[in-house]
Amino acid sequence: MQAFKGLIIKEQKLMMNTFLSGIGLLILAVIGGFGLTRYFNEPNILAAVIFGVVFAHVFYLPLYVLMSLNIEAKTQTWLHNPNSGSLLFLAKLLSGLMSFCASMLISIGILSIVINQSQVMDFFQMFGGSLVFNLILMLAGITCLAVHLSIWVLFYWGLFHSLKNVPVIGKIRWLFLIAFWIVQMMVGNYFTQLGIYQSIIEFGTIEVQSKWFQFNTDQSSFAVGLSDTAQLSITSGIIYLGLSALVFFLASWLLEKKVEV
Amino acid sequence: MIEFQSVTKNYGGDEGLSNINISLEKGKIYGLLGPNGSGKSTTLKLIAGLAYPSKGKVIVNGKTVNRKIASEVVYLTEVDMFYPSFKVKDMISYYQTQFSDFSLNKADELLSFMNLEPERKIKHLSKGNRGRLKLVLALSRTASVVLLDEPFSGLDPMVRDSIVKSLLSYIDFNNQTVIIATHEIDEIEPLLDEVIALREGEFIGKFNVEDLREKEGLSIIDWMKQTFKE
Amino acid sequence: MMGEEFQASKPIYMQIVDRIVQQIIRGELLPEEKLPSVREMAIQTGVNPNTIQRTYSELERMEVVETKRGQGTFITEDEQMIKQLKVNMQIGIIEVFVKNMKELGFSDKEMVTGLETYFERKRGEDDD
Repeated sequence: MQAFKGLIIKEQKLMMNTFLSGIGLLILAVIGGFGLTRYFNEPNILAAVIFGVVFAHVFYLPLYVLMSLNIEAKTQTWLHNPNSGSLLFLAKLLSGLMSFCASMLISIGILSIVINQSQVMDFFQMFGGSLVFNLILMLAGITCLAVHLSIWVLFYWGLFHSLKNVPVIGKIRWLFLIAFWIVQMMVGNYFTQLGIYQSIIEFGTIEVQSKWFQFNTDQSSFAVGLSDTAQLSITSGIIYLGLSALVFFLASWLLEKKVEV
Repeated sequence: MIEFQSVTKNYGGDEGLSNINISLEKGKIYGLLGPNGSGKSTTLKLIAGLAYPSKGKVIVNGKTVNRKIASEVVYLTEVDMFYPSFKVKDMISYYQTQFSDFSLNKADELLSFMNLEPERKIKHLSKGNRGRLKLVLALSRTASVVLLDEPFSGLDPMVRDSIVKSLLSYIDFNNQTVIIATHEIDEIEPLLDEVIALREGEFIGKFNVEDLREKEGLSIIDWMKQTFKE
Repeated sequence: MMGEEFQASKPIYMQIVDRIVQQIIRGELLPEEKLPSVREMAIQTGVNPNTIQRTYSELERMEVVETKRGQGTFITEDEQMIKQLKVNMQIGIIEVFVKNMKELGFSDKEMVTGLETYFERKRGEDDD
């Protein structure tokens, strides 16, 4: 526990500047949105910008993890550590998640201030249902997706560094990674289009009665669109949870056994 | 204590080490010598579990080496191993949480021995002081194996002197084995018990420093000059 | 101190033995004086402690020092022993001198005359 706490503290110190830059960018975006709103006298711009910022958080965590990993990659001496590879990775994820939440809270705070201003309420009239419930649903969706993508970042980073000393492939690691990604896409698509997969997904689907954004996620892309009802599939959630766990396990294995200094 | 059993290490086609068989005993200071690219760093990384053999086995304290061996091995890299944005004390407290054999008291003692300011940012330290800080981190642990990769490289005589003195003052010779990889043997020959020489990834000799003088009337440098001239 | 030069042809532990003996003869180390511990001596000279341990064992074998259990290593109190060291050292130096002179073809008598002439000239210079 002491080791994990130490790792988290290290991550936080290591990424403090990155975190502050993120906050800076966020504030800049809001100020920019505010300026445009005033300039065009169109209150929806600010709301749209803030929504953009909230959704951009999907990439916050993966980027955070990647940047943190790349700091370590300069020397790779972080691997001289008696703790398991999964603990090292977990510390990065959790530390990133803490920064992610802080940044998200600030965004939501600004969002609620904007929402409370009656002038932009029109923007929200488009959606039905409870605002709070919808917000929570949206945040949960963004967080899950961000974690899922970050785990793939861990895996690809691990794979990239594992290939360093492999003859031939080591020299064209980037190509190999892209090829791997294409194969991953194809396999993913194959499965999601299987009849069995479709019926499994439908089993346990709950419909949320609200007019709101709908998330269509697959392994590495997602789409947001308006639909009358949001569909949440419990089995789909379980499948993604399992997939995340598997990929995390593989990434940790690569880090411990294959990434060399 | 430390054993290499027919160890070969390939690096993307290039040979890092080929068919190395050595065994090292407890309580000695070893010098790992050879020109640049002779496989010294690779040898240390294999002991530290930071690289794995392509063939053969590396055994430390009776265990086949993997990452977890870090709890029994201190490893000091040739490159900077710090996070530049950290203060000296941040690095110390990070190490203390990661290695259960790390002693804060010893670290404090070493910091004052080396004249290092805990509040200083690492990126503001001179090269010599960064070299000293590495030794502080290494010697604050009681792990049975201490690996030092080029600890003197590019440092002035004052710093070298403080490093040698800290080693002699803080190493526990009853329980610790030290391996120093270096291509600059001159000043540290009297510090060593034994020497292992490598050339282009191959093992070319292991001997006791005093025996070499007694039997052949040669210092290590003389011997190296003779051997590498060929 | 560190960086002290050691000759290549002789084991380091013996070179430290020689140094300590010379210090005793010159009176820099006195009878019954305590020598630094092995670790302290190692730090002072920048030499491996195992080597220093060998030096101390050799000095003990030569009966130049005594190790008192739990107290440390001390120079012998035996004045006779120290005189003997001085004589031995003298003999050692003379042996080397005579050997070198012989190799150059000087006879015993020539060596003695040579030494006398040397001392006389030296005295003359000092008087100036």
